[in-house]
Amino acid sequence: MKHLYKFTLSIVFFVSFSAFGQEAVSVTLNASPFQELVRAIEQQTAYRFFYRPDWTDSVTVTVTAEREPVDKLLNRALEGTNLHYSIIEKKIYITRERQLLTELPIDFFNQGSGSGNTIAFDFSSYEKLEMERKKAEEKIYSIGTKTKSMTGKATLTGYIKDIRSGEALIGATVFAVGTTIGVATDQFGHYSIDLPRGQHQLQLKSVGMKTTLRQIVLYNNGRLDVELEEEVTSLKEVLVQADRDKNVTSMQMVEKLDIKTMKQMPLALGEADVMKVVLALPGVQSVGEGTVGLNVRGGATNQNLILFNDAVIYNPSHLFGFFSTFNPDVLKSVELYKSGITADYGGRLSSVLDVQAREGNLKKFTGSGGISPITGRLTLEGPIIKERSSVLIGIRSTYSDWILGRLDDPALNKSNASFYDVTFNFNHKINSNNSLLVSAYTSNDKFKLAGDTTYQYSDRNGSIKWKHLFSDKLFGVFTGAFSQYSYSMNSEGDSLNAFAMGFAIKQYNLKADFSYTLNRKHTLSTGVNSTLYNIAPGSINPEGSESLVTPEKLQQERGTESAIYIGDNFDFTSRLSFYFGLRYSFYQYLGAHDVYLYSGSREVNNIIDTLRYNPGKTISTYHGPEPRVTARYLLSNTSSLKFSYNRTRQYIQMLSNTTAITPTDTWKLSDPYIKPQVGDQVSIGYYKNLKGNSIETSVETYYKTMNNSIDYKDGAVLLLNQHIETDVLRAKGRAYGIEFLFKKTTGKLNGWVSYAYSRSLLQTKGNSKSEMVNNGKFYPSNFDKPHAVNFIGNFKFNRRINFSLNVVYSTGRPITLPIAKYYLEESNRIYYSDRNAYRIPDYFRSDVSVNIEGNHKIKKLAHSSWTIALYNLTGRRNAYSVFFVSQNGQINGYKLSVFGQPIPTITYNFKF
Amino acid sequence: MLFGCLEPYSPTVIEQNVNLLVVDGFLNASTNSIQVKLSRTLPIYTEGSYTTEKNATVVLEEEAGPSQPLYETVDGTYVMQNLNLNNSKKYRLFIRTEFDEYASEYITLKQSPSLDEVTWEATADGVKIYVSAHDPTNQTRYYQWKFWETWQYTADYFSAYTYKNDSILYRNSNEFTYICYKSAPSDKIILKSTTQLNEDVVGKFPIHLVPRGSRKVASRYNLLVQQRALDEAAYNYYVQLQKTTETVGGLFDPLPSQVTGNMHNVNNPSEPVIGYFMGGSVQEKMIFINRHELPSYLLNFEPEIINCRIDTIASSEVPSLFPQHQLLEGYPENPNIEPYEHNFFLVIPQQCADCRLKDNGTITRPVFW
Repeated sequence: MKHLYKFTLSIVFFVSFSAFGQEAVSVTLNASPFQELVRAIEQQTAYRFFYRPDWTDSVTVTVTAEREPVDKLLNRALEGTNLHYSIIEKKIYITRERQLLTELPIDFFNQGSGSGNTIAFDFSSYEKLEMERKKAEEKIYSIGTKTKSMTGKATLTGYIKDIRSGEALIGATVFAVGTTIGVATDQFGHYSIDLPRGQHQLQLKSVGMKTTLRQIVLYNNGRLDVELEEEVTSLKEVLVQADRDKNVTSMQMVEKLDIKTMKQMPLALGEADVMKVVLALPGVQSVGEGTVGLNVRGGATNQNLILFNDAVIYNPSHLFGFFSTFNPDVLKSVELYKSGITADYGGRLSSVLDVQAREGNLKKFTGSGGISPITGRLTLEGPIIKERSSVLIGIRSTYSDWILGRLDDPALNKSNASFYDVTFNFNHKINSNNSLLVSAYTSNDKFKLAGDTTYQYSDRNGSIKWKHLFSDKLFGVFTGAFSQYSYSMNSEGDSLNAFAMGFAIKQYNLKADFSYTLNRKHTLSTGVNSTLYNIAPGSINPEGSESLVTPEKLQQERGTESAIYIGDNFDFTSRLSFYFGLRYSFYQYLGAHDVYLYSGSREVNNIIDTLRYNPGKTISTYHGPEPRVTARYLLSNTSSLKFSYNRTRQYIQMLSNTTAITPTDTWKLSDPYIKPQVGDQVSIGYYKNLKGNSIETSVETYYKTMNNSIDYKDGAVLLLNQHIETDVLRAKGRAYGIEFLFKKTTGKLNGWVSYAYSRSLLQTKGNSKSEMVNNGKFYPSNFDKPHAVNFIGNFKFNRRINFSLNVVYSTGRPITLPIAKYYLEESNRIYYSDRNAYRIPDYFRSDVSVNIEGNHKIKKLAHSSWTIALYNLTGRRNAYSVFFVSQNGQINGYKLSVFGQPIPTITYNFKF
Repeated sequence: MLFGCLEPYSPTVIEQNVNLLVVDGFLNASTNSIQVKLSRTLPIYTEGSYTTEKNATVVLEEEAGPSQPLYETVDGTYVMQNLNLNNSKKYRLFIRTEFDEYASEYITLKQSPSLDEVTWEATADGVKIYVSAHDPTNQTRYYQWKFWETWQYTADYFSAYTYKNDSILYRNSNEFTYICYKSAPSDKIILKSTTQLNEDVVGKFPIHLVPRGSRKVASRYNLLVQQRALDEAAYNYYVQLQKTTETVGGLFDPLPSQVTGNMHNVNNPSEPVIGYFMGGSVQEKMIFINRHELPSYLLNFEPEIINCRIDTIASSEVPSLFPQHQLLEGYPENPNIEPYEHNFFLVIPQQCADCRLKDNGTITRPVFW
């Protein structure tokens, strides 16, 4: 076909294009082969046919003509077939699907030189797809065993997948045209919709995919799997286009991002970064750049449940937080729950960040990657059994050692820092009712900063997930997951004091989740899960024979956390929907462990006895209900009100008296003294879409209380502390705020602007002075930043060049400032203010990036793009920290900034 | 750090007038003496010197025992010698100022174990000084060291003549202004805990560095090291004081915090009082470092820029030009004549021949020198 085209086109270019002086033909054909028509015309006229017999041999012609011009005869004869004809100078060309162009496109010769820049189209496969799509759209599918009675309802289920990779499409919508019935696919691309029996037109939509239609006649319960094509032309569109009306209609108050959105953010170091995108959402903050710790709606960094393929990630940062631990090439989606957390999630107070990796391509072997002066990454994926099982492996590593070694600063020359991470995914579709997903992840960081101490930390986890469809209405997911986080510190500087220190946490998690579509109004979910924690809270060992360091090891900690939950998605009316969820969690702190008893206040001097618990013995038990309620009321087709109330309980806490997540932060289970954290949040939001859902706006407000938050006494010792309870304070937290979001999802210019006003306050009420911070009054937490503005904009110059701008502003975080000086021990000393009584200077940063795509030929060896980015365009020296030092009898204030200058990067990305 | 940058910063918000009592006191059980300095805090960017707390009543109180008063020597400094101390008793400090009463907690007297040795080493960074100590009973665990450094230095030129009683004379040996001595206390808090070690041993712990290029070692250098034993609370206080006022803040440093010692206002417990009252026996050791013991790379000093222009003046001009000009040599040269018989003198600006002007030292030789 392709060759014929080329051949015919080249002829067309050199002949004149006129076709007149027609001759008449008389013929009578009744279901005759096409050749009969050809013979008749060629006999009676000078016209000659050019055609491919294999196209025409199945075509029969029924036509009667009496001295009819050839073109009219052919019009009638070919009607109803997929053949077309073109007449050029007594030659008749028969083509299939489309007519031969007998004229050149307008302005053909002024189009510029070189065929390399013209858009080449693979007409044949394009048309094949088009036709199949059309065929599928026009075909009427009969669903279910045919019955005579067409009253009542039936359930239609199925999967929606990407036609190219076979990957399940999450959140794709199935909508019955002309009704108000619509559902979205779950995390496996599975949907289940209840419809009145009878004929329906279904509309199927998903982000970045072509919308398609299916005609069905629903007789009985049955299934329909649909594959969607990627929207190639969407390159010129915005990719931040999630489900367009989801802002308003979704039950959840959740921020959902797909990897395409993330890839459009200006990139600090040339890579798409989940955490940086999440930080651009209203209500999410960090204490400063160079950290990955999230503070969601006034919560501490340890109050976020960060899941990667269902396994917990304890440290989501690489290289002091300049990179997040998620390789952008393997990611599929990221969901952030700031409120409206459903009952299936538990264990952390503030938020859930659910990161999912892609499944490998089920149809063909592909790869992608990128290289920049700092990192390199490569992802390979492909089918093992076509359409049934596939693997994906993503690897990322850094060369920053090389960079550090090349800097002028001698302190940096002596430093080194490196990281790598590997993601592995295997999925297998056992049959239409069973599928299996195995994933594994490991990351490792190592650095040494101008000193003699080497730090190393790693996250390691894996999960196995089996999904089973019990019936069209009931499915279950069974997950086993394992997570491990550990760090170590080695100091070799002084042989007498050389040591190796370490910390490790392991957790094993088993869970079963079920979803049951009761009827059109109720979708029930329920499940159980259980987690076993094992913590080695810290150990120190001498290094080398000369070292006098006493080996010390804190006792292992062990605990179990189990929960059972039930939830109901209830569509009360077409406008009013509810989610009711109840989770009940149960925690036990287990032996073997020693527990100190104190008389009076918890000071080391007041220890009066030690209770020794045997292995497996329960030391303390905590449990409680966690109600979760969400309601949505549609005010109109484009606006809604949402409400949510959440209670969350947290049985594990991070000990850190610095403001950022550092690798030396340790995790501690709740014990007899450190009570579980309990949080309550009420949130109300108003959502309005404008201009045909192309503009999304929202206002959300919340009030949150946190009990048993952790704060520390002044100068607390957190590492290797046998009685940490003497240094930890129990704080009460309170956070509230209002968040505005304005998002334009389509058009040449798209992006969002957000503003958040938020406060986060803490209060400690102890018995003695050392147990109270600021005399027991409320004080701002370390991450209380009242005003925050984010702007993210993308401008598409053309199909190949995309420009992004990102602007961030926030109030400076609180700081404890020196307010007086005095002379003691032969030096000026500083007297500090109440805790967090002042603020560091406001934070402002803008980044730009330009993404240049290679040409858009669909078939070529590799697709590539260049990303040129400039981080911190204005070079503003945002304060990471402010501190005061007594030097030569003078008190000097200093400001430390991490990225104190514009940082350019260039990255080459490829895909094959 | 990576692309990091450090720059001076002075917030304007700090204008609170905090006026707190600062107590700097040590009860020396080795010499049976006590010294307490009382002063006040100043707003952070205030210029000028600290105000001392004068005319206070300061008393050392023994728990369930007699009190021994201190007397004020200079403004704000209260002392007493020949105290009657009992190592098994607890003591506290009681202060009555014009408006308030303050007291410390009762302290026990910690005994400092032997200060085994003070050693030094010439390194590329300068002269490093170490201490070694041990406590065979494993009781001490928390150590603090203080030191006083004294060094000898010279003027650039030697002047043998002086002008006094309207006459040019040879200087007496106690009038030479060529060799000076200067002392300075340690301005750092030096601490070490051995709780992580099997044995209560401090092995070659660096306490001081005389940086390369420092003229302190140019002639002769002396260091007196005092070792004190601390209890855990005092150690924690000093660690805290050190952390909040001496460490350089970085990505991994903890937040600063208020440091409160063991003093309190008797009538108003919420008023912060700064300082930690301690006591106990001390151990001292002294070392000398002579110029000839040092490698030559530690004796290369940046030239000092002093205007030392030598002039010649008539003897008759000496009364009007001395002491701004110091007399180097008299002319005509004749060792047999009296100084005032010279007609001319080579003179040099005073700072070039009077070491006291150069570095604020003293010409009085310390008794231990």
